[in-house]
Amino acid sequence: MKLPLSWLATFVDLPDGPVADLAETMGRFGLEVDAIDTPGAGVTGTSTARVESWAPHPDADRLRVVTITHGDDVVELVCGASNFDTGDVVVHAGVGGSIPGMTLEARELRGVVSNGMLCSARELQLGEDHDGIMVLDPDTPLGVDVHDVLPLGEPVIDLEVKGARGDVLSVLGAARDLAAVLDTDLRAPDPSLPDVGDDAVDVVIDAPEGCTHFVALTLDDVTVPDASPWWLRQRLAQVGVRAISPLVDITNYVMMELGQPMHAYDADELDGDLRVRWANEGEHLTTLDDVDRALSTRDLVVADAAGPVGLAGVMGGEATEVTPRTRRLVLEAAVWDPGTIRHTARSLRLTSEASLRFERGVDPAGARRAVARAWELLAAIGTATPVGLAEAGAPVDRRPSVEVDPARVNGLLGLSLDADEQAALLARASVGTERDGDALVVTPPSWRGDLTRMADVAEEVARLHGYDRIPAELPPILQRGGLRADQQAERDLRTVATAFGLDEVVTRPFVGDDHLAGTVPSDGLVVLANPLAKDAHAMRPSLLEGLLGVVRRNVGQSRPGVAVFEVGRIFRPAGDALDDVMDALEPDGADELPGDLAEWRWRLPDDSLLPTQPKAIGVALQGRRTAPGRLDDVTWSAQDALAVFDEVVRRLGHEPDELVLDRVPVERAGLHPYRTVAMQVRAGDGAPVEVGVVGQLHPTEAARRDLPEPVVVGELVVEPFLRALAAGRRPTTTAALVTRPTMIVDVAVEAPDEVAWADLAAAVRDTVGELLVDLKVFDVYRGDPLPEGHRSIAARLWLQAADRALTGDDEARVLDGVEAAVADAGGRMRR
Amino acid sequence: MSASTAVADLEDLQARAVAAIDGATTLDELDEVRVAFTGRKSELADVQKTMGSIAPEDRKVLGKALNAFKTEVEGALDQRRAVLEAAALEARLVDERIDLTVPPAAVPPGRPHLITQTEQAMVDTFVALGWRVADGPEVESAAYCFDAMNIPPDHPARQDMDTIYLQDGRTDEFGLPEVVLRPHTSPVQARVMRTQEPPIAIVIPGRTYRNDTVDATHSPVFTQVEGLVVGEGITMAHLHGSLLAFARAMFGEDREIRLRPSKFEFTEPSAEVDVSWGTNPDGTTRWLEILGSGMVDPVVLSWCGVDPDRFTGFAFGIGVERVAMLRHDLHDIRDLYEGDARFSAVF
Repeated sequence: MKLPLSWLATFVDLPDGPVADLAETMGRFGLEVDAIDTPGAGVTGTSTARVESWAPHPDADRLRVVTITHGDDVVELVCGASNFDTGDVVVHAGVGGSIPGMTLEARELRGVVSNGMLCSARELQLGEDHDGIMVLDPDTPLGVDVHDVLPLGEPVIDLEVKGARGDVLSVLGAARDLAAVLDTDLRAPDPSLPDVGDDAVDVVIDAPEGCTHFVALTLDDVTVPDASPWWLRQRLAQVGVRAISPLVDITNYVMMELGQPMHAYDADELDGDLRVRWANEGEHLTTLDDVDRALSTRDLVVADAAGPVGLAGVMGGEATEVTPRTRRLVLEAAVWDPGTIRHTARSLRLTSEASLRFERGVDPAGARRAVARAWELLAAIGTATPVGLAEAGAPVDRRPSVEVDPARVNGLLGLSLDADEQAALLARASVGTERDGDALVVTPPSWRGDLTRMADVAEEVARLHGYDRIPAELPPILQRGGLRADQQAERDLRTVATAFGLDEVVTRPFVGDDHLAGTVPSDGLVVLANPLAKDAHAMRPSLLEGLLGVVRRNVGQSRPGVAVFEVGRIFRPAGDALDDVMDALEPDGADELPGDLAEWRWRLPDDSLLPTQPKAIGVALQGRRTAPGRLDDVTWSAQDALAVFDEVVRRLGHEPDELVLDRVPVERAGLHPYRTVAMQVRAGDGAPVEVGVVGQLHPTEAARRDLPEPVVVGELVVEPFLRALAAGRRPTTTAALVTRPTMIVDVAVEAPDEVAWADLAAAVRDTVGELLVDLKVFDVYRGDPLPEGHRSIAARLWLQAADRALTGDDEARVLDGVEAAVADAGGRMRR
Repeated sequence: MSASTAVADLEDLQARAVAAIDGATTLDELDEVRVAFTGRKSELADVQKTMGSIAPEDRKVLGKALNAFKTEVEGALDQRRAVLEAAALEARLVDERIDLTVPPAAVPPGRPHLITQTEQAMVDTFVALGWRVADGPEVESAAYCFDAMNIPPDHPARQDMDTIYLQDGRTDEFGLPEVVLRPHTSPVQARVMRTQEPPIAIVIPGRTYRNDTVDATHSPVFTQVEGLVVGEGITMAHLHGSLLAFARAMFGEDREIRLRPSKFEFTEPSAEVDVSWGTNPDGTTRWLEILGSGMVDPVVLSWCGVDPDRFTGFAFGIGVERVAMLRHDLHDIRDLYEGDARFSAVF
């Protein structure tokens, strides 16, 4: 709501001092100021003048050469407008003067010297009108500074109106609240309705649930000038309303001044009396914006005998709108039900300054005053004969009372104001109070529809007392704070990833149809109804695509390598294959977790399912693995990604094992067929379950994305591990630490490439059994004398028994066992 | 052979030995000289062998001369060895020279993202006050996002939220999808209050979404930290105190905060909170708006199954990006979501 300072000052005495101080005060008391504009500030050397004569420019079709006078001088200039004639009073910015953004000089325009310019409303920042220059009232004195006739440079406060405070959507409303805030008097306007006969267009309300009060003033012999006077047009411009014609301008002026929207009908176009009713099924109305609108039975209309003539509280009908030919007029001010107007505005996608106010609720006692004010204005700028005043329904002078316990108000606010102090504060806002024992019976004024509950009253008390007088205390909380084990672990896994040299990134979790699949690939996508972009129409089903976007960006900066990770949720429709993973890994005891944690699924209040959205950690590694300031020839590999995930899982307290995550070679779209593994853990029943994937981008995929190889991506769903921690799982040491000597045995195992080391190692682990303390790979060899496609892997075994020192016999037994087990797994032990 | 001849030979030998020792340029050469002059097949050994054929009274003279020879030659050897060893060590050191101004090859640890760092710092402030941390889904029920927060389906604020909706077929009576990308972390308030008894003191960090076009100050994805305290006797003064503690922890112990009346559907009374930020040119305190807050609206408490006649509470929501941008003087919110290594390296 824009509030020109001079308009505001007609209702309330403003404090002396800069307007910024006033705005600051308003802000502290809930009248937040978005901006203070001073339209027309900086206009100098500009004065009124009269057009003496004009002629077409000899050398330019669209320009005129104009001679003006400020009284006794003669000035020639060139003007591009054509909306003026000899004798018009105009605004002249002379040579040496200035208007916003421009200093004027004598300038030659196609052979004619122009001594300054004639100004449009927009050039003076007095409105949007730029169709022509300003033509002032013919009585305007000549040669006076424009500041004396136009409100140039006057501050206009732009008030942000919040929530239910529709009562401040007018100059009067803002002034009224300001008077309460400043604890000063309000000069409320009190215009009088005319004495009238009974020759009125009558009004009937058939739908009282939608309209509490309807006032219609009928006027004959209406005569108004072609345009409203400048003072009225300027005020409309200051509050952002375009001037149209005097009759329309008057209704808009009243709306802006008093907050009561109005409508004007050409009475000669009305067929009989006005009726407030619900629209009939199939009825149509062409509104003022020239759109034919199909109405429903939930739309409230004002109708005459022929049908709807206006969409109640939203917009009038085109057929009955006022025109320059209008001689008989009906001025309407009505109070509509907010919910009804909201529904119509929303279902027809039509909002107006009127609907904006009705949706928030206007003063239900304000209709008569608005009509009276409109009559006052009409009488001031034109002539008309009031012939009848019709009224239906009744004004509502007081809102329902609320019983308030002052002690509870204090309890909510942390203040100690006694009942009298609270009553005095409320009285400043015209809120009536009566004592009823310890309670206060609070009666809000008609315009305060927002005060319906104790909390609302408490807010008003606090606001007028001053929020800055509420003390600062800490809440008396009887609980121990802190992070749960899973919350701490979620932080720790970031620490792990960073320790490997990876930077964390946060990406926007949207994908298009073209995206790389991650853990447990599926076609399931969580699709958005109103996405920001077509290629971002779904939630990410894995973290990989976003990470590749980061790789792309950094590669674009010609960096030799990229190493990043992200922790975040991934999204699949409920029932996706990923659900089976979550179910299989649901820890024991999870159902005893508090509240929402009792299951991994999220639900709506009706227990139906939301999409599956577990937390995951993803990594992307590209190019060289370099330190700052170096360009060593070492590239990232899928093994580096696996190392991160292994350590993540160790840190998340997973059962300690040699290879924490089982790796199973898999083929996945877009990934290298021989450098990709699924990561598995064993569920409670021993069945392997995929919890992640690591792979190098397929060369063709890397080329398609224009990414230099190698590019490694990987992802691990961590939610099951986090839930296990929340459910109480802790790392435990199951065996005493053995002190007997350790025996070291090296083995070399040869196998074709199709046989995964993980399977060979599992076979070794299985056969050696509990004697095996540790198993480490120390060399992988290819070449002579091994056949093509074979490699020899050298590994060291640490053996230890709890009860004895191991002997050569033990070593021989272990080697025999390993030899047989490796052979079963598809390899051969070299002895 | 006479003793005097032997002594003369020794003197000659000694002179040659000392000359050879001084001429040795490496430790190996020095050792060869030592063997040549004092070893078992050396001229010294030949002199020593003559001892048996010398008259007993002359043996004393020769013995004395031999001792003198050994002392001299060994002294010369030690002296030369010390010189050569020092030279060898010096040569090794020179050989081992490393230019330590070349950057090390070890890959240093990466960094947690600035949003993570800021979010954790914010959360830790409230955890230190004894609060707990709660979490919830990002794809969320509109009922928890709006209905529970006193924003029923026909409420204007529901349209003003610029919500991103899901296309999954489920719609409410007004045809709006029932599943949304949460526009704030407030639905977690509802989830916690519906399942836990007061007293509740929680902080809720998480990702949130609005249908905003990306520019320097807007992001469709952003991060919020929400706070909720509900119990008996919780007042607006507790809101004030908690947020003052927060502002000082995040921005400096010299900070003040200022509550200003505002309107939010889910709180009544509502307050916007400004934090002091230096001074204006005219010497007055400069204030920056950092968050919205208020006393939990009774409608919200009731919807979530909390008795509004018995319990009161306060809530607030803060943008993590805004705090990060203020603390680190960032200019473009997009930097937080692009993953550019040049940005990551700073924090």
